[in-house]
Amino acid sequence: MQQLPLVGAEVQRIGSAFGTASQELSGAVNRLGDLPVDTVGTPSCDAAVSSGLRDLRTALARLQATAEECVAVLVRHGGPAGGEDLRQGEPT
Amino acid sequence: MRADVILGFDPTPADTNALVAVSDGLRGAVRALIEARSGLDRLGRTGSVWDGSAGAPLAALLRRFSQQASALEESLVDCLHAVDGWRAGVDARQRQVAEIVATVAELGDDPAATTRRTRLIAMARELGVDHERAAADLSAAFEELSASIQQIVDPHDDLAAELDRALLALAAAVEEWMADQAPELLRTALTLGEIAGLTTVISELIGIAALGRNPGEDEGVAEVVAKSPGSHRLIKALRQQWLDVAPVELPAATFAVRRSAGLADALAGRRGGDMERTEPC
Repeated sequence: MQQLPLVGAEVQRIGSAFGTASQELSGAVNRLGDLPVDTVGTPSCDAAVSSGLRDLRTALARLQATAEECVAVLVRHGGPAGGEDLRQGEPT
Repeated sequence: MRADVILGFDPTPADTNALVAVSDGLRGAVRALIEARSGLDRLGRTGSVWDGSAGAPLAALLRRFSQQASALEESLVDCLHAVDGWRAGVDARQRQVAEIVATVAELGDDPAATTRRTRLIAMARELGVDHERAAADLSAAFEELSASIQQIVDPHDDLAAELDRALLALAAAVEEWMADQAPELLRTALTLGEIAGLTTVISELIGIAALGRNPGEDEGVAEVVAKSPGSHRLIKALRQQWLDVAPVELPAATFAVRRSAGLADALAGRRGGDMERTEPC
């Protein structure tokens, strides 16, 4: 089927929301990577905290990647970047 | 004075600066999750333009992402409470240990103070037991966080691929609708007489791009025209199905932020021409 732009405004809004989500989550992932987790408490406690934060960071990174992939999909369907292209003339 | 030097052991190990950093990091993650989902929460609500068989799957996908973020946020908040509780407990215990350490240091090796020194060291050990118990609670909180994460985030979930399929289905639905509804659109187009109005009608009828505005609001309509290629779809439909009515030279779909009455003018002109041709009769 020919790739026609969808109704651009709503697609752009969804793309923008996923873009914001991606940015926010990316920042959180980076900040968690810098935390000192080996002096939080007792050795066994430090191990649990370190493991929990590693799992959290992985989960946030997964959500961030999903948001980023959604942005790419939405751009293909006439989202933010694609929307700019669509303004150049008749969509193909 | 260091507890391990004076007492021979540290009953309450914990770096309060590290705890502040962990607490701030978790708060930052909670804030990021709230920000990440709040934009999506405003879109795709039930009772909105995303109702219907073509739009609902999209709304469901947005909700799924948002719910994952929300569930993670709740687990994090529970964990954050545990960290803050641990922090407060550490502060209190370390203050008590600091007093004990200072007193034991003052007593020095005085044989007359042996009993008191022994009692103080025993108190420090009791604080150490409390500290271990609280540390176990903190460990449990982080283990629970890890377990929750396994439930919330499925590494095999491919939401983007589902979004792609939903958007393709929506595009197909729009095409189908355009084919079915073009006669009504044409009648409406002639009535409204301008392309901005056409775009609003398209948006409303297919249930998309309402933008929170009412039809007839010029600013809102202009924005829709600027951002929505819906007018292009109408032009295409007219071209395909009303070659005898649609103008031969259709305006380019520029979507610039301006009102374009090209098609409407052309249609109106054609209609006017028809009327002129009928006047002699």
